[in-house]
Amino acid sequence: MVMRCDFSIELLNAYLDNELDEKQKLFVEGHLKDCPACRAELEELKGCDRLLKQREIEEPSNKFLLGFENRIIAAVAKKTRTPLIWRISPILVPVASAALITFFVLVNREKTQPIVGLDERVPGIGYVTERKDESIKKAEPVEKMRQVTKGWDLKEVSGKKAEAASEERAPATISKSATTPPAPVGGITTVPGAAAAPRPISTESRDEELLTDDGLARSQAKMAELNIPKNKVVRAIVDSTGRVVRVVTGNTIQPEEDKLLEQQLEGQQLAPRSSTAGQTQNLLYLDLTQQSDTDTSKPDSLKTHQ
Amino acid sequence: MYNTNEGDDALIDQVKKGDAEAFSPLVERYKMALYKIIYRMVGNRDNTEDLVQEVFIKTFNEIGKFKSGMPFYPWLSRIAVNHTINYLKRERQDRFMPIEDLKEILPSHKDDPVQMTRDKMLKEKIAQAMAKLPKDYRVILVLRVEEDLPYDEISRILKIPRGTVMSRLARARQKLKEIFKEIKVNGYAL
Repeated sequence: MVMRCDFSIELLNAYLDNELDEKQKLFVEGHLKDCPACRAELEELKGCDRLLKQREIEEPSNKFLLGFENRIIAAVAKKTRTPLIWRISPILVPVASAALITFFVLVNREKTQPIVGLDERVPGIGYVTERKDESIKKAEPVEKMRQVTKGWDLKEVSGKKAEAASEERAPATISKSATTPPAPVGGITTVPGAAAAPRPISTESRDEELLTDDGLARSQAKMAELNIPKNKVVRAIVDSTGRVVRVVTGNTIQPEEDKLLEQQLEGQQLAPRSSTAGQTQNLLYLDLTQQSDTDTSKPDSLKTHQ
Repeated sequence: MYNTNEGDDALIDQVKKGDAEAFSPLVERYKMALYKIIYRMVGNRDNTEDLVQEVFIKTFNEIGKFKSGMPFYPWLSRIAVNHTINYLKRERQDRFMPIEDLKEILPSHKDDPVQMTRDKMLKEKIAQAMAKLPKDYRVILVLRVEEDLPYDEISRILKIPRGTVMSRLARARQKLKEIFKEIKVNGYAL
């Protein structure tokens, strides 16, 4: 047996596989001429390849030869078939959506806020929303007012001013006889559940005065003295004691505050009391708009919005 | 039914459009080629048939990646080789079989001298020698010697540098030659 020299076996294999460029090929052939061991090695490698190509391959089964394509197609079609859930989705989606909507409507039914009309929007206050709290009826007057004012959506009602006003007003408004308010003077809309806003001036004597018809009559007379332009939308928010807490004007959807008119009317009782202090959860809405001369048969202020 | 003479590209376009039936002629056309290449690496009929099926399903699922206009079979065979290599890794079929065990399972002239011809014996010995090779050597010999693929293509399929292809192929041939000597296969030497 001839011992191989240390010539690169990789080059010899690459030469056998015809993977060398011309320069490398000439180099290997030059070596092979002078090296009988590498020539013998090359022949052995060729013999190995020759044997390898004779390798027997077992015949495939009949199952493979017949019907193999159909099995492949069945397998891939099964994978690509649309799932049942998607096939029935044209029916399922609308039904499921309707069921979901119904569910949420039923669940949130009690939480739904009452619809508030555009006329009930007041700048700086926003929407007046209903607030139910049974515990308020059982609480003491001052505490009741605290509780009432605590949860208001009214931005300007929060703070010491509101608290002070509540504490001030509350004792004076305890009156069982006033729990059933008289009919509104006119243009009064009750916003259910809304709480009264604070007022800057509040004295016990004044509260007592407001309980009388004289006080109400005087305030209404003063209002009549005001020079309110015809056809100008003027709206006032009064608290449960009938006093004005906010005045707005304008015909736009978002009305403007009228500070001048508000100062003139502030603290005036333009409506009768609607409840006692312990039940002051209603905000009264008063329309002071003066109709033009063509429609003087009934002042707008006397119109009822309910 | 599809015309079996229809070109690969036309059939592949149909498959890409969602017509699974158009894949059938492609399976029929290439199943034997895949069977041979996989069998040479696996050396077992049942496993080979299963692997061919898996390769066709995998090919169908990845048909969207095939670039139209390119030859289909090299792409298909690449999937087959990679899938088989992964199978061999999982199955740990690259374990060395002790040479004594190999001699035991080889049929002997004395046992059945009538039915076993010399050629048949030789072919079976070659198959056993290949089975004894480590997986990496077996795969590279199949690709180069039996599939006649160039080094660059082998490099792409196996994701190894061309230089590694050269060295691994050289070592694989040396190892095969040693096994042939051990089991007394003399046909490799002229």
